[in-house]
Amino acid sequence: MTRPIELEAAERRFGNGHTQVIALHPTTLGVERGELLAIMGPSGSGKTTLLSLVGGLDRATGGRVLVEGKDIGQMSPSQLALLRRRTVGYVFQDLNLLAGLTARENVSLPLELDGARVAAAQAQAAQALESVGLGHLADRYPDDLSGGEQQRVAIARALVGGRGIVLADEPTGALDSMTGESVMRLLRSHCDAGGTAVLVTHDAAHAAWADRVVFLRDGRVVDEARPAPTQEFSVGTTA
Amino acid sequence: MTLAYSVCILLESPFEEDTLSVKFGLLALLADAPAHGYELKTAFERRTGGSWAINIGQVYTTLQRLERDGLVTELPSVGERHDYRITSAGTEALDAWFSSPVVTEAPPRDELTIKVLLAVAAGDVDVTEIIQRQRRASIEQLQAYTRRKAQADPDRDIAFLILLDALIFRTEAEIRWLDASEARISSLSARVREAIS
Repeated sequence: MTRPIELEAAERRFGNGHTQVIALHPTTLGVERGELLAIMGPSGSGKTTLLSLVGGLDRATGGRVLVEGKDIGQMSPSQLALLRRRTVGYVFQDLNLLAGLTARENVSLPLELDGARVAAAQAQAAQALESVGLGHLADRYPDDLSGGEQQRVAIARALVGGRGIVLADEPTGALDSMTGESVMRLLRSHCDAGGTAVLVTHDAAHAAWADRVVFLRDGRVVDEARPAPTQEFSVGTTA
Repeated sequence: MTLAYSVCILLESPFEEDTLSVKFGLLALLADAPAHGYELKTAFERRTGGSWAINIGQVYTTLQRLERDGLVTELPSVGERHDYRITSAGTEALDAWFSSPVVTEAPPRDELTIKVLLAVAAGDVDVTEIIQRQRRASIEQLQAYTRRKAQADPDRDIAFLILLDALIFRTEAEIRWLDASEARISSLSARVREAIS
């Protein structure tokens, strides 16, 4: 079965000759369906570059990046735009919600841009907001929502229309720990329901929601972590 | 560099800390109602989120010490039951314990801190590799805790969740410390390289 995301010796160089900078050395990495993958590493280690290549926001200068089996290096700008509207959703640290639109309108926008009828798009948006626990706030404008609520709107927007892949770049950066946790629970349940997500974070507690943590240093994958077998301590309750 | 620390790390042993937690743990339980040893053992384990299995022998030794110090008293036995009750001195001691903050002694002398300090001083050890190996292990531990958290019921498992948060935040702090150590080491080696070239 095709993996949702596959990097085959994908690399990204900037400039040439003496001034050349290699942001990502040839990297081979697959993400399975249902997997939540976290990428960690110091600033400048290539985390965001890797995510941008997968999202088609940037192009590899070598190797291939396959999304749902298709080589996105071969795609035209309009095909890439289509990929982002239908297959891959993005969540950024700064939320990029449009201030003049309500939560529902923000979420329905990608569907409308994709040619869906407004009523149908808004119905799907309402459902997506429901799934992130914000059904009751659909008519609020971003400024009237808390940071955590805005981030959940951004996640609803990334998921709406059945997009299976979510790419999140420091989505919990500006949030307190409990709100950050609620965002991670959403990404976790997206993957538990068969979706796929790649998360870039410097926050170990949030990376720990992932099935696999990949460590980057100087543009190379240097290590990988998977959950330790759970220790046996009995589950106590206050009841 | 590492020797300078040796003079100031004569801390209370963790064993004494354990003893204190059990002592006040039992007092807190007896403040609710009189109880016998086995009841205290199971209630202690439940209230601490299942984190700490104490043996019944430790419960009875602690009860004897508490009785010697006048903080609890044994009630007249009913058949096989030997219930204990908190005294007013016990209530006062418990109140004082709850109202005083716990201050962790500095500097830390856990194995990991010492290992990294010694590796830095050793010179011929790849500290970055040691740090990464530890970071991976810590993240894997964190993933295991987080899985338990994801499965817990936020209403019923409050003690367990608070315990998990304690483990998670401590592990997270350890990882942040590893990140900071690595950043310091790499900025130092960059300066050294610059000075040589």
